[in-house]
Amino acid sequence: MRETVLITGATSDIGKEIALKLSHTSNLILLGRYQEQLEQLKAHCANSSSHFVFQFDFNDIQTYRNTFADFLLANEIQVNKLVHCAGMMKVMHMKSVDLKNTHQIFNINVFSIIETLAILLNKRLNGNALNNVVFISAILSKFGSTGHHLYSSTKGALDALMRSLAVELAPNVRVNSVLPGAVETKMSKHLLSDPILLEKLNQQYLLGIGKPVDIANMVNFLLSDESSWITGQEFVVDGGRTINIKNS
Amino acid sequence: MEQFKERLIDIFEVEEINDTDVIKQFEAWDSLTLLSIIATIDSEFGFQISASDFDKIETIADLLQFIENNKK
Repeated sequence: MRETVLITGATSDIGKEIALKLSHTSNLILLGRYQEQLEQLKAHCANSSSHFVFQFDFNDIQTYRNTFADFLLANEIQVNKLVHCAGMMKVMHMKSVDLKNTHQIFNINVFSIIETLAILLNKRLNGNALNNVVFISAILSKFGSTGHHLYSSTKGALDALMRSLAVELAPNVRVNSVLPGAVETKMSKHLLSDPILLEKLNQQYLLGIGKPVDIANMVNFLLSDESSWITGQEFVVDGGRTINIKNS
Repeated sequence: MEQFKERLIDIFEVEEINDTDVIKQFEAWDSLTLLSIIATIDSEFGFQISASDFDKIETIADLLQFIENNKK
């Protein structure tokens, strides 16, 4: 029987690539902010009619738990695997941070997945169906960069959450995170369009700038039985960026 | 809008700002200042200004007018 995989942030470039890859072997729930983009993605997936779309904006996190639980009940779906791609980046001086910015980025990057896990681990709603969780973190969880404090702290929170969950949920659920370096996406487009920065990145990234498929391949591995003895780990996928001492 | 001006004063680290001030001529101007202003506009007015739109903005008055035209 085909398993069901929930992908948050499904219409992000990385989420999309993961969805397209997994659609051959799994039924998907595509969760994202924009209905039209979700429907388009669904239409592009293999076995298009076997996937679901759930539109939600994590800025409205207070109403998420009930809304998503109702969706699962109404469609009689149980979720086996969860991939958390929903994420946003905010770059600014620390002195310019306000509580609204902080709430927004934590809602989308962190609280979203905590709320999702609370639903999927509820026996009444999801039985014992959940068996695998992968978070998309970032190398900024481990390293510092000017202006990236909020983003880094959300990704650090994800990795810490991942480890404790891996312990709490073993042996039934494996939990791991993937830490991408710079990948060509909508999120990084404004950075990668700067020629001076691009030149610097090309020196730092031994294998060049990443593509969404590089991340999707790692996620696919972690969701598969090929990784059945792996849990609670962080996987850096960054084309050699963080081990390159010469150009750090 | 007054509150936003206060925040610009903090961002640029100046005593006051005037409508005719040219944004890129503030001493504290750098790429991170640009991103800080983008984040502040998102937070205060609920929309995201693109870096390329920002490029067309010269003075404080231009910025305030752009926000007036685009805020939600």
